[in-house]
Parts: sequence; C-alpha cells; structure tokens
Amino acid sequence: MSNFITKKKKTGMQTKARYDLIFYCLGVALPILQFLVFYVYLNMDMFVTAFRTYRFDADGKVFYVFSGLENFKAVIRDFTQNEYMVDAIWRGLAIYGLSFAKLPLEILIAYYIAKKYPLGSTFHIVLYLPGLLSGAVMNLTYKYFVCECIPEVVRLVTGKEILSLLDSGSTTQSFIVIWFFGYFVGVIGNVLLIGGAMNGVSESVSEAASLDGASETRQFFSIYLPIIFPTIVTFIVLGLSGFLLADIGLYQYYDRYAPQEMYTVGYYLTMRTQTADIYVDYPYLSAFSWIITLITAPVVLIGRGLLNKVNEKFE
Amino acid sequence: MSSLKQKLAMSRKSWKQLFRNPALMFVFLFLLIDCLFVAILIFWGLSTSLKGIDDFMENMVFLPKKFEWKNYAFAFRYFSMPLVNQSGVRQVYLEEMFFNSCIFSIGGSLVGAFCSCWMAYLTQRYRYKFSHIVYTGVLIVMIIPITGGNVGMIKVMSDLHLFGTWPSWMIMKFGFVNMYYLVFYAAFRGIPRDYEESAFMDGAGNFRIFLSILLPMVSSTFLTVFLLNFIGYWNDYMTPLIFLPEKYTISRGIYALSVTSINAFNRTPMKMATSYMCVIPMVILFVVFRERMMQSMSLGGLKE
Repeated sequence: MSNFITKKKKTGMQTKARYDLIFYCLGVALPILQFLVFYVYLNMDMFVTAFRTYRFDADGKVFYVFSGLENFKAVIRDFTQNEYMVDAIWRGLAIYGLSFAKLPLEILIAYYIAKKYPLGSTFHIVLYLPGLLSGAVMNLTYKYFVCECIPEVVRLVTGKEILSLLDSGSTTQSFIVIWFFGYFVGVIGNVLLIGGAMNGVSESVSEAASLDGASETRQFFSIYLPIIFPTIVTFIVLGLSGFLLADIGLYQYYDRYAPQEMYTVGYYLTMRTQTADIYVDYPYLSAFSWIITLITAPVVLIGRGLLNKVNEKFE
Repeated sequence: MSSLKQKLAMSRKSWKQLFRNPALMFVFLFLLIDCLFVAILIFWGLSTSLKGIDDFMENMVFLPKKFEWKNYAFAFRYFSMPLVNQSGVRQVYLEEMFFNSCIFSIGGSLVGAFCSCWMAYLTQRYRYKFSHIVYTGVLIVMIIPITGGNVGMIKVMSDLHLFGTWPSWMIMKFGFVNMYYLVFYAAFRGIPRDYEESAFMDGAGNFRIFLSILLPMVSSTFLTVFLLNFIGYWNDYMTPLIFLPEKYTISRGIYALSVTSINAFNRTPMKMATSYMCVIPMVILFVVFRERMMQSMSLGGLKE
C-alpha cells in the first residue's frame, strides 16, 4: 500500500515537473524571441551592414555588397576632417564633464531633501515639476521666456534694446543659454535616485550619531555617503555609456536645422537617423554606431572596474 | 498643542543647523534660486497663456490685464497638426493626439511592465539552468552599452513591414532586458515559496498561481513601474517622431508647435495655452499618486 502511495506521489511529481517545464518554455518563448530578434539579430545585422555598401538593382531596389572598411573610413573622415564635427566631439565631452561635475551638488541636494531641512519638501515638489510637465512644454516655455520676456525685462530695467537670447547671431551664446536650462533645471532626476537610497537610512541611526556627538558633516561622510555609494557607482557607470553622445536637447529648439557650430555627436546621430533613407544610409549609420560602441564599451568596463575597487575600499 | 510646540522647536532647530553649516547654506541658496527660477518660468508660461494677443504685445512680462480663458477653449477645439503621408495631407486634431498618447503611454507601460514582471517571475521561481543564463545575460547586456540601435530598429521593423504601426511599438516594448526586470526579480525573491506550494495543493495551476497570488504581491512595484514608464512615455516626443512618424501624440504635437509656425497657433499666448492644456492629465496623475511617484525610486529603480 505504502509502495503504491509513494509511486503515485512520484508520478504526480513527475507530471507536475513536466507541466512546469511546458509552462516555462511557453512562457519564456515570446520574450526570448523578442530579445533574439531585436537585440541579437539587430546588432549582428548592424555589424555586418557596417562592412557593406548599397547598390541599386535593375528594379531600383537596394541591395548590399561587401565594401570592407569604407563606411568606417567615411565616419572617421567626417569626424576628423570636418571642423564642426571635431568641435562636436569636444562639445559633447564638455557637456558630459560638466554634468559629471554636478554630481557632488546633486548628492548634497539629495541629502538636504532626505534630512528634511527647511523647505526641503517644497524644493522637492518644485524641482519635480519640470520632469512631470514634459520636456517639450518646459523647453517651449523657456524658449519664449528667453526670446521674448528677458529682452523685455532688460528694456524695462535698462532702457536698452537687446535681441532675443537665442537669435542674437552668436551660436556660442545660444548654446550656453540652452545648456543653462538643461543643466540647472534637469537637476532633479539624479537627486531622486540618490535621495531614494538615502531614505533607506533609518532616522534612529542618525539620531544615535547626533547623541554621540557626530556633526552633520561627520554623519554625511560616515553614514550617508557609504550607504549611497553603490547607487552613485551604478549612476556613474550607466552615465558613462553616454559620454560621447551627451547633448543639450538641441532638437527641441532647432528640429533638424541646428547651426553646425552647435552640433554635438548625440544631436548629429539623432538628426541623421531621423532624416535617413533607411536602406541607403543604413551602412554608414551602422558603422557610426559601432565606432561609438567600440569607444564607449571599454571606457564603461574600465570605469566600472575602478569604481568597484573604490566601493570595496569604502566597505 | 504640545505636538505643535514640538514641531516648532524641531523647525527652529533645523534652521539653526542650516545657518551653522556653510555647505548646507550653499545648497539651500542654490535650491532657493533654482526653485524660484522654475516657479517663475511656469508662472510666466501660465500667465502668458491667459493673455490676449494685443495684451501680450504690450505687456510680455506682467500679469494679463484680462484673463483670456478662451485661449484654452480655442486650443482645445482647434489645435491640430498637418500630417503628410503617401495619401496626402490631413489635419490631426487634439482628440486623435490624445487617443494616440493613451495607446502609446498605456500600451507601452503595460506591455513593458508586464514583460519584465513575467520574465522575472519565470526566471526567479523556476530554477532551470536557462533561468540562470537569462539573469546573467540581462546583467551583461546592461553593462555593455551598444549605442545607436535606433537605426537598426527602424530597419528591422521595415523588413517586418511593421514600421510606424502600433504593433511595432508594443513589440519594441515587449522586452525584459532592463532595470525593471532586476527590480521585479528582487521583489519575487522576497516572497516565500510556501504560498505557491499551498496554492498548488489546493489545485491551482501555474498561471493561476502567478495571476492570483504572486502578481498581487508585487502589485505595488508593478504600479510604480507602470507609473514611471507612463510619465516617461506621455512626455516622450522623440520616440513617436522616429518610430511612429504617422502617429501624432500630444507631446509630439507640442514639440511640433515649438518648432513650426501654424497660423492661429503662431502667437506665444496660444502656444502656451495649448501646451499647458496638454499637461493637465499629468497634473491630475501627480495629485493622485504624488507620494508614490516622488518617494518610490531607489537604487536600481524602486523600493517598496
């Protein structure tokens, strides 16, 4: 009898295991297929196409032939011989560097809000609004604010007529005006991530430290910073992948017609993608993407390795 | 009464701490200036949206002489964008943009959140070797950045004859290689297996266990992921511009408004009225889910 029960149990378990396996296979099939097509195949196709160029057959349809490194050479030529593209690289790096330099301030802001210092909640809500109200609306408001309101304020205060801050003829000035908005108004996204990690610190820990005589500065460096450091590492590593494509949202202000003197690599790639004849321009853009990836990937991996070492020291 | 006194004492103490610490004082001043700037900007936009054309030409800075609420009514009724396609040119009105925004945002957020949640459930609860491979694969793919995939995506979608259609958008979002997969994975890891075993003993099938027991347990995470994605998609104008060129969403409409000149909407007050009218759904969402939206983000995404 007990043999019969054991056997029945075993058969039941086997049946469940079989059903589990079928359920699992059916469940993962579609997401895995999506991944295989839109990540594996897509990137392989881009890689292969980067070594090809297009031709037209008798019916006018595009087909590709092997062209060696021609596309890569064309991209490198564009970025080394065109003065505005060389500048675009430096401009992108400068934008990224300045964003990176803002990180200590963002950490301090997150600390300020997490510790509920005076008006912390109000600051939190007001800074959250630009992200909520859409970049399109905020950029539109800012565009007309600097083009119409600021010149009018200057006229009322000084009596002098000035041109719109975006159309004064100086592309450097226009660039700085646009950058300023993204730089200072876009502060909250990172603050939210860092502040979320800081909220994990129990108030009792902070109170105990205060009772032991730890100053605010000491608490920040000895309690909060070690706790949020993994978040900061994640944040820096994810940010590193975009160091060549850093942009200031030029598309929002100029659509695809930004002056070449204001180009960034990120803007150039978006603009080319948006205006591309997808079959004709595909080889060039594939080579472009792979060059960016080949430069970015080692930087991210090295950066991640270094930051992990620093993190270990912190722990 | 005593609690009010306590609050006042706490407030006084935190102000004192602030004045004693130069770094905190600097942050306070920075935040004050930054918030004033944001507040002035939004206030100016709203105030301009309520001005008549002549009023705005005479007075670009201060409050309107007369509040022109009809700007909003006009924008609601007549805001449209021309859409050029193979069959000619047609106007896309606000209701169609709103409909497109809803499909784009709700569809994309729901599909994206569900796929990440579903794959996290399968790979966390079913300990096959393949689950381990998937988990490691997600970590590796997230670390190694492959940039500029948009052009490849357009090509693949064109090859599949799906480019520019709603199914293409849903398929694009039906992916699990993202931060939220890891968030759901962690959430499922925190749930004991006893629940499923008991449900199985009571005769529940695998899908029923997921739908009736585990999904409700991670519903808070699911809602937060959904909301964050929803806000992102609602405000996103670039994705529709690149991948759905024949579908005007509200954000794309506002973007087009900012870079083009269209007769009645060429004047700044009308542009402002139109754009601020379009953010009303987001404001309502914010009022309803304020706490969840502002406090749910943490390392790698979210915390419960």
